[in-house]
Parts: sequence; C-alpha cells; structure tokens
Amino acid sequence: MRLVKYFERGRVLTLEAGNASMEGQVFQTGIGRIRVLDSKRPYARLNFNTGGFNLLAWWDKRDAEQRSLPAGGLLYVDASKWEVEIQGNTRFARERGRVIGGASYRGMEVDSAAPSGQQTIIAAPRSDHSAAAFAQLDYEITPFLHGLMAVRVDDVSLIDRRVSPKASLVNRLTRDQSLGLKFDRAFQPPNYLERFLAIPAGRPVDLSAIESALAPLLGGASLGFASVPALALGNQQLDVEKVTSYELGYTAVIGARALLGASYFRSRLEDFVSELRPGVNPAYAPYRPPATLPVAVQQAILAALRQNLPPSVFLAMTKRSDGSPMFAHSYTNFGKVDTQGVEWELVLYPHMDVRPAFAYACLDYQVKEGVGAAELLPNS
Amino acid sequence: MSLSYLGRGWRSSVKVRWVDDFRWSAGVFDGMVDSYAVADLALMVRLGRSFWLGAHVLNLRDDDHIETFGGDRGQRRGLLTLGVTF
Repeated sequence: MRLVKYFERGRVLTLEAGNASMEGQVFQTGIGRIRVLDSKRPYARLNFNTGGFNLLAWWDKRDAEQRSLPAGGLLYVDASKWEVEIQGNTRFARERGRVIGGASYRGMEVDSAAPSGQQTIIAAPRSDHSAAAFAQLDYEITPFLHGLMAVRVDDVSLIDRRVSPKASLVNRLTRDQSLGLKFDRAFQPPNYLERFLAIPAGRPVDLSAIESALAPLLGGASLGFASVPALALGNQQLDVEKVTSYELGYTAVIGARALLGASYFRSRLEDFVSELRPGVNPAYAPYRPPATLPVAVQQAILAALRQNLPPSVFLAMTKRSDGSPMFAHSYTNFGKVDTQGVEWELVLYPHMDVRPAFAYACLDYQVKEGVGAAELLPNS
Repeated sequence: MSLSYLGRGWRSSVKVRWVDDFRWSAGVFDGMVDSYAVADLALMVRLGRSFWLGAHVLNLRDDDHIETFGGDRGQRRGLLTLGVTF
C-alpha cells in the first residue's frame, strides 16, 4: 500500500509498505538450484521530497525456507537490510550550474539458522554496514556544451574503500540534435554466499583404503581418512568485480514527429567471481600430512593420494583448523572481458494519443583473460 | 517494440520483446536458451473522480519458454493496482 501526501510548495511525502509471499519458484545459485518452499518479503519505504532536499529511508526483510535440489537439505534465510539517504541540490552561476550532494548509510543482517539453531548456509550470523557519500556537478559550459562530473565513495565493512567516478559531455550539434560522450567506473561486491558460504558439497569421502595401505609406515598414527568431509566454503578475501565503460550517444528530434536515440558503448569487466573451484582459496592451503610423521612418510602419503585421487579432487584436499583432512571448494576472482554494443530507440508521435516505439540492442564480447571462454559467457 | 494509446480517462500499452537465442553457462547449467518473444499489456482506467484501476499482464500469451538455462519456465503473471485520491 502506498500513501502519497502533497504539501504546499511542491513538497511530497510518500509512505509505502507491503509484503510479498512466494512459494514454488526455482532459482540458480552458486551452490546449485534452490526451490523456494515458503518466502515472505515485507518492506517499507519513506520518501520526503522538496525542491532542493530529498530524504529516503527503506527497510526490507526476507524470511525463507528453501530446499537445495542437488543436496536435498533444507536451507533457511532470515535477512534484513535498511538504508537512510539524504540528498540536497542547488543551482549557481545564474542557473548555469547545479550541484548535488548526499550521503547514505546501510545496515545488513543475515542469519541462516534452522529451527534447531544450526546454521544451514553460512558459518555464523553476520551483521554488516556500509556508508557512502556522493556529489555531482552539472555545468553549462557554453550554450551548446554541457558537462557533468560525479563521484561516489563507498566505505563498506566487507571491502576496501572504493571511489566510483563518472563524467559526461553533451554537445548540441543543432537545435534538434546532440552528441554525448560518457565515462564511468563502478563495482559490485561479492555476495554473502560467495564470502561466507559453509555447507556440505557432497557426502564425506571414504579414503580408509589408502590409510590401510599406508598403515605400515604410520606407526599407529591416524590420518583421519575414514570419513573426509567435502565442503563448499566462501572466500572472505574476494575482491570486488569492476567495470569501466565509455559510451558515445546521439539523439535527434526528427520533424517534431519522431525521437531517435542511438548509442555505442565499450566496457572492460574485471575480477569476476568464479564458480566453486578446488584449491583457489588461500585460507585453505594444500593438504599436508601430520608434521609429526617423518618427511619420507609425509611424501609417501602425498604420493599415494596423488596417485589414487582424480586431479581436481586431490587439488581440493586441505586441512580443517583441528588438523583433520577435508575437501574444500571455494570462490576466487578471475578474468578480464571487453564488451561492446549498440542500442537504438525510435519513438514516433503520429497523433497526440498514439505512440509507437521501436528499440534494438546487441552485445558483443571478447575474453581477454580467463580460465576458459566457456566459463565467461554474458548469459544474454 | 511497443504501442501506447492515451485515451480520455484511460491509457494502455502493448510491448513485445524478442530475444535471440544464446548460450547460458552458470556452474553445471550450461546450454542453449532458445529465441523467444513475449508480449506485455498495461492498462489503466480512471473510475470516477477518486479511483483508478491498473492492470499489468506479463507474458500475455502465456508463452512457454525459458530465459535462463536451468531456471523456471516462463508463465503469465498479472498485477492489479487500485488507487484512491483523497
């Protein structure tokens, strides 16, 4: 439900609240497909706007019970976010320039505990925050040239401080045509799954046959190979994904009956977050046998594992904090891709009441660095 | 491609979106998403001086298709909105 109250002098107050219930939907995640059994998403929003000032506050929550289709287990999510943003703007130099500035603060909490209290997706409940400040300057350099510069600084508890700049120049070629050039750089932080995931990746692996074969060398020591757990774990050292874009745009009003817009863009995208992979998380070093064993025995154990396990499984083998073995799959940053594309739109005004519109977009890409082209597709 | 009509006391639009086939890859879900086209309809009618009724139908033809390889199949969805001015 939304309530909008219009005050004097153009001030507007908007209050909005609602709840979305969802069941049955299937979606893809880094840990495979997940079916939503029951999900409730309440939300609330407040916005107060005057000509030169804007206050925005919102809150939303997701309380969901889901089933992992590959593993069959139940997954629970109890997550909420809230944000407050203030923004002001003013004109200067006899209306030729405008400056906009503001700041925002966001809080985030997530818990994946089952009714029994055991976590089902992440290792422990998380509570994080982010703060941002932003500013934008528009200026009419000449009657035909308009410039814009903007910068946003994000300070997030999970990543290093990031600065995201943006700039554009628009040149009016004639009364009805303009040409614009735009540059911007942005980032996307890894999500909670990619950072804090902690779930079984399959059944524990029985390596007791290897341990039995090595028994004469072990002198009674146990390697813990009878049931080696396989886990999918987040990587807390992940960097953000980055994109740098340039765009050239053209707009024209054609005979007061049509509006044409066309643009060409080039972007470079870097440091994608991978799928779950073995041996990529520096927090989980390659498996080493107990240091109490003689070096020759340690080498014999590693040789036996290397000989009997598929290479990707051997690569995944590591140690838990208590020294026992485990198989770990995790995430890493990789890849560099260049994309380019064209977008155009034509809106016609043949009559006051009728408005046909036509639009087309196409995208091309080239993998510059990557583990393999098959793993870096635009999925569009 | 879209067509909008603004009548007296009502407005409507039909939008048709066509997407060429493409390959999808996300983990074990790797395969082709076939070309598809969907039509959406939006309608808003003013009821008297104070009320207006809005309807938005996505995938009007209930076209059976996928937009991601391994995701849900597309289905018709509708949204009704009632507004009151006071």
